[in-house]
Amino acid sequence: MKLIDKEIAQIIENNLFSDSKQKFINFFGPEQYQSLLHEIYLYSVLKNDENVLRSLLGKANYIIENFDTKNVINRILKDLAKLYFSGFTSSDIMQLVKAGNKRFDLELKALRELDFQGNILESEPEEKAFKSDLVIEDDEIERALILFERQYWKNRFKKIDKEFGDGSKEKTRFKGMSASYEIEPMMAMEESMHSKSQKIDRYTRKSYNKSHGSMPPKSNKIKIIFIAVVLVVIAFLLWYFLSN
Amino acid sequence: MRNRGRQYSDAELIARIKEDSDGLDLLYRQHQRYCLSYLNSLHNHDEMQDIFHDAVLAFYEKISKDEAFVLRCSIQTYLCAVCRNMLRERLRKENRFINFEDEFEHDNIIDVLEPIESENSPKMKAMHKALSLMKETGGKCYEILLRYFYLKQRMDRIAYEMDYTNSDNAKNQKARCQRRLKILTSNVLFS
Repeated sequence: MKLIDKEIAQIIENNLFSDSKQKFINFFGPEQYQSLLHEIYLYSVLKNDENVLRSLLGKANYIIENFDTKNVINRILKDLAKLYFSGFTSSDIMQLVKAGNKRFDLELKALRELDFQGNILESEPEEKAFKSDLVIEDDEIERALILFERQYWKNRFKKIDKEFGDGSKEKTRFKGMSASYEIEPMMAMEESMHSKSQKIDRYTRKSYNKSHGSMPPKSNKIKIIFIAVVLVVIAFLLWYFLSN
Repeated sequence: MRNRGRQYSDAELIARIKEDSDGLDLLYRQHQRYCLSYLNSLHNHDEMQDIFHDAVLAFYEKISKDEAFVLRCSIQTYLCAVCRNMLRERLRKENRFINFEDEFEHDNIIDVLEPIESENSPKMKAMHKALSLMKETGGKCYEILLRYFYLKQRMDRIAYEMDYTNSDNAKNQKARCQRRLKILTSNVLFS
């Protein structure tokens, strides 16, 4: 809804510090109160949106109620309007205000360098020269976003691994089950060292492929014991027949 | 996240991934064990987990960014193929050349997680930090940049999905966010 100046003034008068107006005047003095009113008025004229205005007033009231340092209040109030022009929603701003300023110093510093239209303000000569040099191409933004998203997801996967395990059981189960060969002699040596486990693994692999992921046998101990028993029986029978 | 027992079909998983971020978690958990077993059956390598992470991300980037991408096999087959390609790639970098003799035939899948140009440059690191600040502090900037530059969405779609009144508003907002990213990056670079 578009507003005319008179309406804006009326809304400010009716809403700003309605409960804590006197407290605010006592705290800052009437002059600063007027100055603040003027500032908010200017923001509102620029934006000319009732919702933005009401929201700004709400935040201003909240800040007055919850912060008691003049500098902090001043700083936050001045940042509020700029935040709106930088893509923050009302709830984001409230979150920002609640969290305090330390965490967001860098962010706020950047915002102070924007004017109300989001343009970069004139700064010190050295800094200005640097800023005009820095060019960020679209494809650089894309690459940075890809990297950022990858990092984000990898951290998330690591969290899942911590919570539910990382499949290390599978590593043990299939350890040495390499069905590959390497051309380099080093690897050939490595492979021969694993030859014993490969025999077991080929068996487990067969079982694994048949059942598409079902558990392979736990060990070959039973097989070895069975063969040993058979050998003992054969030896006994041989001894028995030969001795008779 | 907690529903480990349920198995989702490929179509369900892809729909979930496109719909919300939990979808990728589901895919990760559903295929992790099989793919790691498969990888370990090919070769013993210290970074199997990392390779699998990359394979999932390669799949994610394909389905979310590449409109021309058509999945012609199951997700599991695709992931295993990418895992295999990436394992081979890593071993090649270590000057180890291996012929895999696995029985899965993924030879028609050549995808890997594409490396990013000048990944470790100071500027890229500063942009990374700036994006992190943007995301941390909330606001729509991160999302609008992500949708436009990463997901390659059109402005009218962005406007619709992010509740802007029209695509011009969304375009203006995107421009402001780009400026904000530039300032934050400058500050990080020279702070």
